[in-house]
Amino acid sequence: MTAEMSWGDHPDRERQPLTPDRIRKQEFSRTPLGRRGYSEDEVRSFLYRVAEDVAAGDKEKADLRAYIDRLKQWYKEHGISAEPAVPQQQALSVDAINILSRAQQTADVQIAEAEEYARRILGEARQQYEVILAEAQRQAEEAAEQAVGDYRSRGGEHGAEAEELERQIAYLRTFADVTRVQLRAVLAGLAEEVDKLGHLPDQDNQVLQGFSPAHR
Amino acid sequence: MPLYFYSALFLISPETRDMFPVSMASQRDRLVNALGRIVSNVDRVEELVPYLQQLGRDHRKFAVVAEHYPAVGRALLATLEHFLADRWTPALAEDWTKAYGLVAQVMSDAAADASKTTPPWWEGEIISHETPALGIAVIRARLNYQYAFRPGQSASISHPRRPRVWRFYSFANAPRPDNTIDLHVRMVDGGVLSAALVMGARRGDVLRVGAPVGDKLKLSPDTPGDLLLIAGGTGLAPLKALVEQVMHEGASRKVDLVVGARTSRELYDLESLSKMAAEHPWLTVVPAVSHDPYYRGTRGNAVDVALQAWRGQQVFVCGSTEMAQSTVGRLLDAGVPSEQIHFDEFTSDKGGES
Repeated sequence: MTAEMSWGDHPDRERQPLTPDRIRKQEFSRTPLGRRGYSEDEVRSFLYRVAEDVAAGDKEKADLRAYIDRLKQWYKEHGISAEPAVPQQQALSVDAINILSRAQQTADVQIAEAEEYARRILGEARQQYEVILAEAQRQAEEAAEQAVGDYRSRGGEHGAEAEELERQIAYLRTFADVTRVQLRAVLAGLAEEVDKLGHLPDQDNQVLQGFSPAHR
Repeated sequence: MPLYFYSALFLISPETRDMFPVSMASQRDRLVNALGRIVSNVDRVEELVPYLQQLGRDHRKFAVVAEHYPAVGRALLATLEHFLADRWTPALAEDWTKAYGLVAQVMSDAAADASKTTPPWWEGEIISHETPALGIAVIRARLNYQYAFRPGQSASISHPRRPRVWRFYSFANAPRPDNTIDLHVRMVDGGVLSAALVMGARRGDVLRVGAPVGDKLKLSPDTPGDLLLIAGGTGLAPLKALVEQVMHEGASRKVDLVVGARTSRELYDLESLSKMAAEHPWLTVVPAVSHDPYYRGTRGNAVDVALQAWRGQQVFVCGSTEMAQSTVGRLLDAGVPSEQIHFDEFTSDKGGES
């Protein structure tokens, strides 16, 4: 919302409109002695000329206003409303419409391409993420089985609880190792992609953030 | 044709440009759809009028006011005139002018009526934003005015990062005295609003929320019997709201909630669901995971798991279009009477607005 005020509403009370009379009577303070100033006569005669022009302008305005009133009256007497016809019915230029349409189409195409690019990057990233996690899960399961096997062959006799603990430790250790290495590689790849995105607003930001809260 | 129409509109009334998103591509389809619906229903007033009233009320959220309707009418006539060329006659022009005048009247009257009782949109300040799983956000927002909705309903939502882009999301709660709502948002790859809501939205951001809509998942207190709820992904949201409704109504029925997900990582809301189940003996929550060979819980499609628990309950289904359709198909095949199946597809990020 722009709160633009028309000149007439200007709240600056001290600035009263100039009338021809005020122009003619305008006084200026003197420059300090020894400083150069304009010739007093020239200033005065110029002010008189300005005042004359303003007066002529005011008269013309008044004449025009009277003329408009007469016209309005004429329209009224002939039963025609003069008001809405004036501002509304400027003819639309087909050329202008076509130029605007072309600009809009160009914008639409570029936005669609940017969105498609973002969609692809995110889709691929998500796929990679799934693959990495699945692989990490697989390796961790193997390591866990291995750990339980080792524990048993060492003759662990502390029961199922200790066995499960052994299992989980091995699982988590392997899972963390695999995901850490893989996610680093993905981040490097993504950073490259993000650079390509250039100046697309917001998108670069989002792609990076998409990976920071990856599952720990 | 819609391209020409919008260009004409923006030239006639430049301030209307700000009501639309930068890309107008999907907007044009919506216009054609709406016009098509109006023209094809033109002799069925009893269907057309409610549609136009809804359209008029809904347009308040775009800040459309009565003064904009004449500009739209002029742009529409200019477009028709341009494309019909020689076939555009004064008589035709008059018919269209009259028809448009009626349409505009019905829409702006409905909008004016609605404005007596409700704001054009509600503002909801985000008071918590969590991402419990990759690409899924659970958002809680507090609305600025009282907001009357029923569990199972949804509303169009907009975020300041994507001004003028609106998408529908379901509420994941029954109405609360503190006027807060919960939203479950899954990020759609390349989705305009969902990405902003999941990744960009922060505590303190102010969402715009349209009026509540939808009655497909309505649970009338008069409907007797137990419930079987089947959720796919963030389709959980409206079903969780139904669970809360049962809670508020005094837990007079048993509720089985099957939460479907592809992998265990996507079971984003289990913690709060388990808590609810632990507190309420009438509620059973079963997570079902379909694509995760190492998952130790129940494996399989949500619908298969749910069918094992079906003993004649009312069934409510919500999920992606694909999930909802295949689930309803399976339910019917298994002999669940169609009048006992209530379902909704959660609106994807790609549309759903007219």
